Amino acid sequence: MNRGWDFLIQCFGQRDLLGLAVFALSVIVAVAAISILFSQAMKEAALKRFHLASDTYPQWAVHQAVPAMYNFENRIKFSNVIDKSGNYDSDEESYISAAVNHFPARFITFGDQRHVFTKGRAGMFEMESVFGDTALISRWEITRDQPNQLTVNRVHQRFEHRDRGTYGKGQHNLERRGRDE
Amino acid sequence: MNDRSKTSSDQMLAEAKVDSARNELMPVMGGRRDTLSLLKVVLVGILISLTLKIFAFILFDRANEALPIVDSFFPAFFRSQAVARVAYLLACSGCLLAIFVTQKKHLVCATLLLVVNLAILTIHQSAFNDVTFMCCSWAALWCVWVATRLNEPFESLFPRAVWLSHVILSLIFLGGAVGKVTHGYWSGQVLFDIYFEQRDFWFYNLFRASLSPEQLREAATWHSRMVIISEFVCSFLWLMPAKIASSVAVVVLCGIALTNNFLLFSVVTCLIGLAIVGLHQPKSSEQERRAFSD
Repeated sequence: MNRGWDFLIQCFGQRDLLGLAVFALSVIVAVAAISILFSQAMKEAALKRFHLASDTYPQWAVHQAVPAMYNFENRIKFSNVIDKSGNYDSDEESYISAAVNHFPARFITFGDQRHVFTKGRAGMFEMESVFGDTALISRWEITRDQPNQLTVNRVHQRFEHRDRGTYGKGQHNLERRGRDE
Repeated sequence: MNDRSKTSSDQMLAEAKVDSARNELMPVMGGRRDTLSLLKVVLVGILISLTLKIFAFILFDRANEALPIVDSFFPAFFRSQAVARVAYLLACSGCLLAIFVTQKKHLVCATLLLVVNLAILTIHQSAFNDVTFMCCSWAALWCVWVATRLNEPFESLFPRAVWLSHVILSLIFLGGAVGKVTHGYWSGQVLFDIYFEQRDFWFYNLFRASLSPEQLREAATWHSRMVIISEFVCSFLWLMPAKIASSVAVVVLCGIALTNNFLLFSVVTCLIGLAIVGLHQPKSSEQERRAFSD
């Protein structure tokens, strides 16, 4: 704690405003990180951040300052077959279900992983992130409207209340690829 | 009168000799040599992190070029592959430049160039998920601050630089720890699914080869709990004595990459650079003392 007091006293003594600003930013980000343990609104905002579903892009961009390595229980599903009711046929050849360390949306947005999963074709992508008793499920349809371009269409998103201990029930981890960083 | 002027000129001569010796030892004044060496350690860490990313970056650059994806959530600027490419190149250039310049204004400009471009990558559609850029951004922010304090005496700057580096490291560990306070991690199921069950890496291969399926699941539980606890311990680096905090951080960060995935060195090297700041032994004052006592 002495090191902290010395830092503040020295910063004031040396008129080190940038040092104080970096420290203040660190405190704000730490409070934002911890708040997901106590605030339902912050918990939901953090889950929405992982699904690229924040209310606005600037809000999401600001939230990106909060470190979130290996956060939450994330799973994804993908199939090249689009079922408008949102059901997946697990016997279908292109069906994939996997556990993901963080930022599950990367399986569509991140270059090489998109190729591995979509194989350049349209498809249906579902993400589920669980933190404590709150789960966020998002379903995207990936369409190929132009010859060399895929488009993300958000078709469904809902929060669910979960009893603790239901992680991964009834799901099979069929295949896992890609980088972890 | 003559004696007094002679004494005065002798004093001036002695002072000039001392100044000349000091300049020879420290071509840049006020302990800047030590401050620069601290800064360069972190910058080298960031450069290694960014360089380790280069093959992945080229891979996703080509993939995005061949089959772009349009997600209207991102503004067009932050979807553009050209923006990601330029930001990555400018971040690497800024870092490289900052390693070689010594002038304060040049260092501030180069580190600002680094932090701005890393921030762009952190919120870009094709790179936001890559934790390397987020960790490098925090390390680069520390570098910008140190660059602005280059003229401050090292003795007063050093303890602050070390403590702020520990605050940033604590923050990064805290972000990781808090998000794991959930049943899936405490039970070990998440890490079992991601790593223990199939991951082809020496650490997990060793577990699979030597344990039964039930023991493997049990090992995943205890490993997961160990990860959560160690991250929580590391989120209090700012409260620990400086050298202990730095040593703990280096060991934990190296452990993360060595036991999970060597590619994670792209994430942890910039943080190891920040941690090493606390292990730095100032040389200038010691050299100076030795030189003047000889």
